[in-house]
Amino acid sequence: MSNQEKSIFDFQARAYDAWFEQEGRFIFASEVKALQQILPSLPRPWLEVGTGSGRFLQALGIDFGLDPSGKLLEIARNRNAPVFQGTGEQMPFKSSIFGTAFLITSLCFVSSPGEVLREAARLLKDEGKLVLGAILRESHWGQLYRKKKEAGHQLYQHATFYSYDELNNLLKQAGFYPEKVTSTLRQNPGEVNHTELPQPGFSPQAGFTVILAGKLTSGR
Amino acid sequence: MQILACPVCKGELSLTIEEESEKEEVVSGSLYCSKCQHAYPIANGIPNLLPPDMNQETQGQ
Repeated sequence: MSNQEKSIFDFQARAYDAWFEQEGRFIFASEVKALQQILPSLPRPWLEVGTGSGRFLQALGIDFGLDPSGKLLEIARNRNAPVFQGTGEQMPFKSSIFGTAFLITSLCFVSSPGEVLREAARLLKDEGKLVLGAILRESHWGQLYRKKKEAGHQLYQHATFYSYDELNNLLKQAGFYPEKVTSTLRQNPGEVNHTELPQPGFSPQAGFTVILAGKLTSGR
Repeated sequence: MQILACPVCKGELSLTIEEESEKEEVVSGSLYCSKCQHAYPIANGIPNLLPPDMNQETQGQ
């Protein structure tokens, strides 16, 4: 992640964190529900890369968080999990120590998604899992955020939204194979008024897609 | 702290504690990489392990 992106999240830290309890509360609750479905199968310890202010960290019971934004981490620290300031491209952790790595709407904000995924593969044990939560480019939500990006939105101008196929290719290139896909947020942007139940599989109508991926080992 | 490594060379880090909380959490101190000869600061309980070039550029923000 670039310095510029880091400072943008620093600048907007309080407003960013408040969104989860205000206009974003049903979106956040729907995303958490989709992620919770796969939690029981995931090996510990868990690391969230791009933990931000620790909202998902707290809601999902993730053990450790990493983020480049010092201001967001100050908020996350009050959510009672150890957090570290660092980048996804150069993670400050030993190799083969985590059971699961989470990247929840954070891959879209990094400048080198391939490097971040390769680093995630390095940190994971042989039977480790990667959980990717993403806003896909082909969804209504992806199109909305793309328009915001093109209009020079302070946050989204630095985001890159990937298609389902592009994400799968990035995963494969970094040594992961997709095991399970869940999707949610079929309500349109601006019309979200309830928490949704997730549905199995990929859907271009869904605003939030969860891909659970396993780590390819030499024996596979 | 046992899970941490230098973000650049992935080598071992030596911990220096300046202040500890009642729960024995490190509040301030540093993590030193002898290979890179760089000390990563710990402030307000958060280790700052941004790569050195990124830290220098963002100081004073």
